[in-house]
Amino acid sequence: MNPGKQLLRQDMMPHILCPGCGHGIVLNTLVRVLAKRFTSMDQVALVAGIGCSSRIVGYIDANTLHTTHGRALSFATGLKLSRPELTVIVITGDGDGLGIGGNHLIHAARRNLDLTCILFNNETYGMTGGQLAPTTVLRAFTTTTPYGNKEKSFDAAELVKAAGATFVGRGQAYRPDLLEELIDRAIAHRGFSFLDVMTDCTEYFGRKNALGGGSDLLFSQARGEEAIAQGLGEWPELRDPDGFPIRETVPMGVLHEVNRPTLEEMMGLAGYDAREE
Amino acid sequence: MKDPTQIRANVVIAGVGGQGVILAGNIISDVCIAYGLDVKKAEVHGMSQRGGSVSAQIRFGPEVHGALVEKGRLDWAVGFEWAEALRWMPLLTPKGTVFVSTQEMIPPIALKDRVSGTVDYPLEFLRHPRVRAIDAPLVAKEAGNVKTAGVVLLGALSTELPFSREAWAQAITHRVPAKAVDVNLRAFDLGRRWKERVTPHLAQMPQPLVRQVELHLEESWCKGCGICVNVCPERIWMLNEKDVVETVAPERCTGCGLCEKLCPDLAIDVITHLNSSAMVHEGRNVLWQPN
Ligand code: SF4
Ligand code: SF4
Ligand code: SF4
Repeated sequence: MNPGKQLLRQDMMPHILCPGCGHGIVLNTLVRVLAKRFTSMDQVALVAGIGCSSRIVGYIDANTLHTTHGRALSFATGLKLSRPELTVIVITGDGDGLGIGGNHLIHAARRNLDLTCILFNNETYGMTGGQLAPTTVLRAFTTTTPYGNKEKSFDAAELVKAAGATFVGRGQAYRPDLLEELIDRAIAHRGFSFLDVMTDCTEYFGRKNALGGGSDLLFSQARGEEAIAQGLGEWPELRDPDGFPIRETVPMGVLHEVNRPTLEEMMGLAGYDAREE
Repeated sequence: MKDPTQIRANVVIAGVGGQGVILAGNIISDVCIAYGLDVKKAEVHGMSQRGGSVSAQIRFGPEVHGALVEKGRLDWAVGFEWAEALRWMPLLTPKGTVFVSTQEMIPPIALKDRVSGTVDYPLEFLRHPRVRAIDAPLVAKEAGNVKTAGVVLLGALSTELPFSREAWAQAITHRVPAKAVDVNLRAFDLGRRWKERVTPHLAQMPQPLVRQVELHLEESWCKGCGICVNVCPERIWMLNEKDVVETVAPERCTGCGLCEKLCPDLAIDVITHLNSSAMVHEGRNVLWQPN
């Protein structure tokens, strides 16, 4: 029984995500964490930008803001500074958070505002039709790279860590238990917490790269899984039908955790201490 | 008590791989040898690395000719695990005593049918008057290391044999690694006081609980992605002609929760109930709750 199910806006379900979309699994895990952590959703605010990932806040019965493309963190910053007692969780995608809103992301990390930012990384712009995203791995096919991607992709976790985030982790939809723990720890952490969550766009990324349907794509995340149990592991290398790697190897788990005064503390904001952890 | 140099008895230690069955058998043998007894021992330890059955039969007396215990001749069975002890019950003499750990470890081989298969043995014990059930891992933890649970049971057994505590202590000291001697001796002494610790009688223990799993599907939310179909270890979901899942054999569900956690559409609910023993005979999983 997922206790988070009662947090869904029942009249909005079923959600609009495509069959087998990994974002749904992250939603599944997120509401589970929220239901276990908080007695009431009044002190929780979910802020999202634009994209398939960002749509999920609409299904959660908490304080939710569905904002403009790439600007979820800006709205969240304003919200958090005016209501420091809130637990603010930003839901963004790789296109939204790293592409359109990349600058907001690094500055939010630098400021160490006490936010949790969950980036749903499906390596493509799903909602707008499967275009190349800054996270698309080398050689992958997208709507805008019919001959394969020639650009190096971002390592979102490394980027945000370098920018100054105090908690950085990476999880995957395939491992809901690890993801649950990561989300839980990210919310508990005081300071800017960032999670790079590998999910699957079955509709575009999966189809364009002949990676199969929902469960095939999901199971492809399982390769190279052993080390993950340690909290650190390798993202499996996936090859396209011609043998080219289309998913790079990346580490998983909690990648970085330090303590440094949050922006709220630096500014001496009244009410910040009341944040529910 | 009998003269320790004249006693003649048969003991079986039964457990699963990794619990120290062989070690316990060796300790008993050492003690007997110290009293000048003749000892014959037979061990079964196939698959022990993978949690399979392990047992040691020890026969001792002024003169012993064979190592195998005959039916109806077993004086003491020491079970490091419930079910393993149960296997030896038919060999007991009418006065035979069983010291058994309340620990339950289901071997991988029994997991072929993960829902049923492991039910009735606690009830067998419930009915048996000469079973002494001890929460050995708990006592072992008190001694300082849960791995000494076997030695706790040896301690219990030692109270019914005519050998001195010193002889046992010497054998233990000789057999276990130097740095584990203290904790093992502590466990042994706690085991010797088993009467204070014995689980009163199994009938007074909390009833075994039965796990029943209910599956709920929100059909209108399912998009037929097939993730649950492929992820379920028991293969109980199937897509129907409308591309919505159906359960093929819900009674096989073990309640692992994978389908619930991996359904992107939150369409599945796995609800687990723990019911008391009235349901035991229906052949569902029993989760033993010691306290
Ligand atoms: S387009 Fe891709 S990311 Fe968007 S809902 Fe469909 S599968 Fe998910
Ligand atoms: S995982 Fe969920 S959406 Fe997919 S087929 Fe199963 S019940 Fe339907
Ligand atoms: S909980 Fe789900 S995945 Fe697990 S056995 Fe039951 S139906 Fe299968």
